[in-house]
Amino acid sequence: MARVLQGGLIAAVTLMLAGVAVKFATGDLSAPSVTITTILAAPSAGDRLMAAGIAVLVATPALNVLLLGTMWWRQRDLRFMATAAFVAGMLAVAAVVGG
Amino acid sequence: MDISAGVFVGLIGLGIAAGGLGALIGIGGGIVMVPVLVVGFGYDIRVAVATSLVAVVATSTAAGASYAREGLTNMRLGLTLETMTTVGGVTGGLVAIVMAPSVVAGVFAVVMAVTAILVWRHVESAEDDRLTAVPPGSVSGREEPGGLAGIYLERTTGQLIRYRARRLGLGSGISLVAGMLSGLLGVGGGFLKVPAMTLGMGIPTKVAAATSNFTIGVTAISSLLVYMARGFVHPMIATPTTLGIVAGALGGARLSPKLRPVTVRRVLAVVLFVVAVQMGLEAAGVRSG
Repeated sequence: MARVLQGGLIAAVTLMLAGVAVKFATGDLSAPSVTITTILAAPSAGDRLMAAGIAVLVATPALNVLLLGTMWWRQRDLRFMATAAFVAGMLAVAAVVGG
Repeated sequence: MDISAGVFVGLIGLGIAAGGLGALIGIGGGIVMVPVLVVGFGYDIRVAVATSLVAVVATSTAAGASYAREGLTNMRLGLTLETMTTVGGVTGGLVAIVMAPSVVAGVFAVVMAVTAILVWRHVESAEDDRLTAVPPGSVSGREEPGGLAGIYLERTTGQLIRYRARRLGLGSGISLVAGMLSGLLGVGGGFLKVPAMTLGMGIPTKVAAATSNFTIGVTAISSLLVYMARGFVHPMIATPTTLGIVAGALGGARLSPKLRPVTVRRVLAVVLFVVAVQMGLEAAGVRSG
């Protein structure tokens, strides 16, 4: 789990820093908003990189939940596999009901 | 919306301050970040909350890796409590989006004022000093499969500490409230979760802090996804604050042994109270300064 968290954070920070560099290099200091479905459709390359970094950051704990559920399923610890599945389901609900 | 280079640097500075405070005294960045984004930078409170939630995910992820390596985090316990926290987080996020921003600001002002009083009155103890940094290799632990129990070896004292969670209903109820506050106000919720686990469920403080840290990230994304779906996340605002908070947390951890937590707490309590008053005035529609 530690490797997933660390890897996710490093990837997210790298994308964010790249996005900032592109924004400043192109002199574009606009601050548009993004939604879940428009991450890759953000106005500029810099915005897309930063948005992708945020998406990776958001996905990291969610991926962790899925990996824990898979691990507990393999261990036949079905009660906690179901718990992880419920939490993952709530995250999916959040993405859908918010829109 | 455009931002200037000066505002961008200011957002990084805000992140560094919030991350540093979190590392020094365990108060999460959200309680500092949201009011400064609203009162200082003039952003809509929903944009401020969304920005704070991104930063909360980052700090939880950064610290979570460290705690996980030490074996302190009880993931079964954490995810069990998260079943209610995520429900609260989604609910809080949806409520915040439809609620008038002035009402959200008013609720935040009250929570900040209460937090300021609690921070001021916090009793310093040796346990708190150990909480601010867990030296690598000083503890090692594991959770027991099939239940909400675990064991860890406190190497500094040689003590083998066993624990088992009690009063799951109480912990779940408080987790639901913590999730709602997280979704409504952009805070991590640890200030409720840790006492719920230690005082309510009989979990050792270090395990509670580590487990809370792991769950805060999951809680934050449950409401962040709601804000993100509604377009309240601005990468050009969230990115500098997030980068700053990660840097601040790393720096704060290094400074921790050199500063007296009680001094930092007292200064923070005063700042929180002043900003709470400002938020209250904003909520009431009274122009400040």
